[in-house]
Amino acid sequence: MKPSYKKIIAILKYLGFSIERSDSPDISFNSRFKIQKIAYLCKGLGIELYHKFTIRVHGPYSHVLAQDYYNFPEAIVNLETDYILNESERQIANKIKENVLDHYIAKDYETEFLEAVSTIVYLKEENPEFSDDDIFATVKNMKSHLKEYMIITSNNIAKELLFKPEFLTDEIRKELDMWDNIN
Amino acid sequence: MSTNQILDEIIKGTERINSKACTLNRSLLLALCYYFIDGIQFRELKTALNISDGKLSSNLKALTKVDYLKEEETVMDKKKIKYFSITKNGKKELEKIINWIELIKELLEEDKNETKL
Repeated sequence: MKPSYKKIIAILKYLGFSIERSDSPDISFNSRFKIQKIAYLCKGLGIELYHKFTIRVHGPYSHVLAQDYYNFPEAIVNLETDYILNESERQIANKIKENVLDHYIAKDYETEFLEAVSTIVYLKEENPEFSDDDIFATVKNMKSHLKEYMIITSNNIAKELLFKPEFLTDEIRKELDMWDNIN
Repeated sequence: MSTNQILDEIIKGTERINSKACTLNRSLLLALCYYFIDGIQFRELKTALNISDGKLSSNLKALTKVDYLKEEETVMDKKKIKYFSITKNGKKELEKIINWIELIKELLEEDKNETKL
C-alpha cells in the first residue's frame, strides 16, 4: 500500500468516518463518493498526497485513489493503517470536521455539501482570481443539481477553510472588532 | 507490420467492433465510465456531454442493453440517484475501439515516414 493511501485511511479514522459496505465492490457508491471529496479537501488544505484530482465530470476525483480502494478495500473498510498523522495534519482534519462534517447542512445533505465545498476549494486553488460571482456561476454550470443556498453556504465555508492566520492583518482585525462592537 | 497488413487489420477490426457502441457519444460514455471506475451519475454525464436527457437516456439504454454498461440505483441525501459503470464486456469493446484507432494512427504514421524519404 502506498503511503498516501495509508495517510487517507488515517485521516478517515481520525474523523470517525464509517464506511458503508456493499457486495461488489466492497465499498458503497456513497462512501466512495465521500472518500474522494474528503481526500481532496485534505489535499486542498495542505496535506501532502501524491493523488492528482480532476474536477471534470465526477470531481473532485482521483483515478489513482479509486484504484487504491479497489485494490485494497479491506484496509479502508476496516480503517487499518500504520500511518500516524502529525500535528498539522490533525489540525487540517479538525478544520474539515468542524466546518464541514459537523455543519448543520451536513446532517441531511452530507454528500451534496461535501461535493459543493470540495468543488469550490478546488476552483479557488486553481483560479485564485475568481470572484464570488465567478465561483457561483462556474459551480452552477458544472453542478446544476446544487441549490443556490448550497453553493453560497459552501463558498463561505470554503473561504473559512482556506483562511490562513497570516491573512489577519491589523487592519482586518480592527474592522472585525468594529463589527463585533456594533449593538 | 506492412502497410497491407495494417490495412487488413483495420478492415477486420471494423468488422469486430459493435457498431452500436462506436458512435462518438457512446464511445465517450464507455471511455468516461472506464476512467471513473466508481461509476458516474446520470446528471454528471448530462453536464459532461451537454446533450438532452432523451439523447443521453437512449445512448445509455443501448449500451446497457448490450451489457457494456450497468445501471445501479442508490440513495444520496435521501434522494434516489442512478449511476452507471462499465462492465467487463464494455471494457473489452472499448479496447477493440482503441486498438482500431491505434492501427489507423500506425497507418498514417507509415504514410508520413514514406513522404519523408
